[in-house]
Amino acid sequence: MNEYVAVRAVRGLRSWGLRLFVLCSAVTAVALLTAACGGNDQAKEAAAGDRTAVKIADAQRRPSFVLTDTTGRRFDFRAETAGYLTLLYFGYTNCPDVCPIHFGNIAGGLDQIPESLRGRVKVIFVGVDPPRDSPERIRQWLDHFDTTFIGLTGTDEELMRAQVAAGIPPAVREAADENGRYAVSHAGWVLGYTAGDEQTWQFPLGVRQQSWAETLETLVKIGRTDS
Amino acid sequence: MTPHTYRLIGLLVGLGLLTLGIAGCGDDDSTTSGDTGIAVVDPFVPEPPADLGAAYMVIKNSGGEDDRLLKAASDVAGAVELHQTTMQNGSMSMARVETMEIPARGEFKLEQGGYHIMLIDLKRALKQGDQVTLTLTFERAGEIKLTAPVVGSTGVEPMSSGTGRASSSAHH
Repeated sequence: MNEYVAVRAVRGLRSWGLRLFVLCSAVTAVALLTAACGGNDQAKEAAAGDRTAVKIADAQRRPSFVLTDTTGRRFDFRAETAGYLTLLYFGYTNCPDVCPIHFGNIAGGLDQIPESLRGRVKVIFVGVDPPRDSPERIRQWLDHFDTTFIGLTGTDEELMRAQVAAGIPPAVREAADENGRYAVSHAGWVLGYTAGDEQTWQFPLGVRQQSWAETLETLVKIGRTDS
Repeated sequence: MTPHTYRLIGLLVGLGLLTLGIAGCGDDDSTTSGDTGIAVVDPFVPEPPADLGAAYMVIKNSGGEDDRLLKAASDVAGAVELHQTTMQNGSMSMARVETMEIPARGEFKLEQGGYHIMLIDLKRALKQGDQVTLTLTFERAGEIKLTAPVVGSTGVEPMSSGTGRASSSAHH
């Protein structure tokens, strides 16, 4: 189409001189160059639009549910996590996009907070796709990010109860395609409960590592008298 | 010289300037397909935590015609699909898409939490520093082969807006 623009310019100019036409061509070239390169700046600006964690107006007590951890042990969520800043996420290990982003950034954020505070945070991943989220697979998936992260799963009924208790839209397995593959729609945010359930937070997709680090370092001190 | 010759010289000079100008602002790490105007910028694959992963990139179209990504292939995966993550009422879901439209004089972003190329049934574990070869097939530009580096999963910053985006600077 550049040729088309130039040809139209030639027709429009008719008998105008060579110098004028060269000038026009140069202006066109500069304009197009600016437009093409300007697109880069726009892209960077748009890509930088990150999200921040949201504090829920009315703090909720952390939910009570029992699932099975990756060692096969029954795990009472409320009892096992009380007293810790707790992050709770419902996802699935065949999730290529959203779940690894969250966990990569949680792990990256936790790496930035002081070691003395790191031990007061528990991170829980609940696999909501039991046909594929075996305890072994969840363990392998989590170890990729942090070997201290806790993985849970259960029966569909147990998982439904846990999600309802946590107040999130329950995950749904989508219809399988011709290859038997399916996606699972699931809540997009990570829930955060301070040690004594003083505050409840939601971390949407798009929270940057630096923001995770800053927020977690603040939240981990809430409800603790020894910090 | 006749006016006709002036015009011809002017046209050639103009086209020369255009070529120089467009070449001048190309990104170093872009993969361009001949003269079709399609260029792939900043491709990357976060180190996958399981036997499936995703590739992200920006596809730029400096040409005057819309183009369309029809499929992607890679020798590291048993299957490669075009996907989009969407958010509805707080639930994230993912669906296969048939094509991705690359607008004329615009770009299309495959970004985290939006459009992505899903690498399924990975044949080997991809580790930070590996290179993944991808072949993209476009309706107009044909096949473009590119190499995407595998980056550490904690070293990637999210760019998500929740949806993929196409933008065009055609009417500036």
